[in-house]
Amino acid sequence: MRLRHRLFAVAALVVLVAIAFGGTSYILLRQYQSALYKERISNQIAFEVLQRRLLAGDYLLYPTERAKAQWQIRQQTVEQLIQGNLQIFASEKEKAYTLIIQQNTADTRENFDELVKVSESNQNVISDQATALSSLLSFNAQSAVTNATELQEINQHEAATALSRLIMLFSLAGTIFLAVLASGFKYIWHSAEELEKLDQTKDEFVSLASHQLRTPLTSIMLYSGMLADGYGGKLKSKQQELLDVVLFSTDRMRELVRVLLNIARVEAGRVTIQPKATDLHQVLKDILDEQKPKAAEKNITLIDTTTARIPIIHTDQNLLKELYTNPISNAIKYTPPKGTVTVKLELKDKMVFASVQDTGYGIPKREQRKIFTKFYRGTNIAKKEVVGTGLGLYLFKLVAENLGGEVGFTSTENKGSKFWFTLPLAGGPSRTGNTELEHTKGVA
Amino acid sequence: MATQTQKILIIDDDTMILKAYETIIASDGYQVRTASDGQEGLDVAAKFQPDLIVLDILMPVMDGITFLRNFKPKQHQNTKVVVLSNSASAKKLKGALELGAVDYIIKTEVKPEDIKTLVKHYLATS
Repeated sequence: MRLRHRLFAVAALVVLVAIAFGGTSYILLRQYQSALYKERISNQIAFEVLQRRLLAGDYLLYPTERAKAQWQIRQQTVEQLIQGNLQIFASEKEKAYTLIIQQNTADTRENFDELVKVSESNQNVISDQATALSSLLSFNAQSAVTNATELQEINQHEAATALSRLIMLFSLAGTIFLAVLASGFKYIWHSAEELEKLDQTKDEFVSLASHQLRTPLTSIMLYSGMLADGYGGKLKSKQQELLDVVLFSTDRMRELVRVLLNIARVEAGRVTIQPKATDLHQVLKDILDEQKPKAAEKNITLIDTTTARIPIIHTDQNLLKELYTNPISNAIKYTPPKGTVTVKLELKDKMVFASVQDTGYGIPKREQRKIFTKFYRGTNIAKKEVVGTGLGLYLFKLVAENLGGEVGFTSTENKGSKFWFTLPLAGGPSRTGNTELEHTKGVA
Repeated sequence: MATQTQKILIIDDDTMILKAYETIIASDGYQVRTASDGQEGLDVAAKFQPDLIVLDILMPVMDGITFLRNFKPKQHQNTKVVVLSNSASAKKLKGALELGAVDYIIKTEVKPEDIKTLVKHYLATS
């Protein structure tokens, strides 16, 4: 759970950084783009006004129709460029320079037009009036060039600033990304280490519990056994009666420790699975023999209705015994006296189908989906005060899966249940583990 | 039948279990000595020359497997070793058999009567 929280936090951080980076880089890119555009336009203006300035000089030297036409084309280009792009120069400084250039351009046109008039009427451009006009024209044209150069510089600077901001953003984002990546990796590494430790702790728990829980249990069993055997003197019948409760409970406790350890072993995936050629029907008969005394106590009839000849299958015998004992001891436990438990082995779709049917208390319909959950016990049977832990069916399912099979059941409350499991005829999986299941008798 | 000459050494770190086993076995008239770890077990065994050793596996100082490696039951034809453990590791118990123990028993499965039967069984066949 904590690992998932961490991963979520890292992912959220990555998403946030990505959004911030995406947004900022979009804004900066747009700024850079517009700065580049302005730079291009201001370069064009600077180029055109310079060209116009030179053409004006040409005309002053040789006032031909061709020179006039060339000047007028340049003049028009400059006017169009400024008019068309006036709004893109947004800052006060840019606006001011642009307007001056525009004014210079208008003045220049006026000067030029007058100069043309003078030169065409007098056929003499060297008159005083012409000289005055040409110097005014030169001044205005030069002023336009100076201002255009200024505007060009402003925009070049702006473009350079936008570019350096972009570069800064990318290097910052790169650093943050690497930092997040490193911390994310650290978290995952750390969590993986914790998981490994947890796994180890689980393993250690199995061996610790098997030793630590059992050490006092062994003493209880030995000493109560010695008491029962008369090592402390002959017991009165009332004392014997009390001691029997101790002995019975100790037995249950032993069984409970076995079941808990078996679950821990199976959950850890460390149980050795060693398939061997197995006569399933013989295993069933052995288990029935083992369970017969308990059934007899409650006057329960055990019936084997197997008719099919069950072939030898390859499966782990230790796990199989655990698997098969569970539904049979359950059926005896949860069936009222004088009931019947029917077992049957069948062959179905490349599987052996083993079923155990009882005439017991059954499982309430609304609780049936929880039946294989750890610690679950039917509410109806809990009221009957039959002892149990709610671990048996959970282990039943785990063991069946370890053997490559499945489990299932059908049940009607107060009529009985039918539990079944399947095993592949082709044989089950094998595994080299470091522990084995202990046989339980279904006492707990 | 048991006689005073038959000697049994019990090695276990749990004093309560030692005491119980000692009481149960001694009640049949055997000579019983105890040791609370493998090292002490080796020392006692050297002097006491037991006919049967009842050996725990998980012990401090020297565990049962190390005891077996040092004691080498195969070189002590007159001494049989029965391993008692709560360890569920069948591998470990099988390892004990390979090292020369004659049998192994899971502690929690053994009742006082079973201990007597076990001792009688292994001493009768010696």
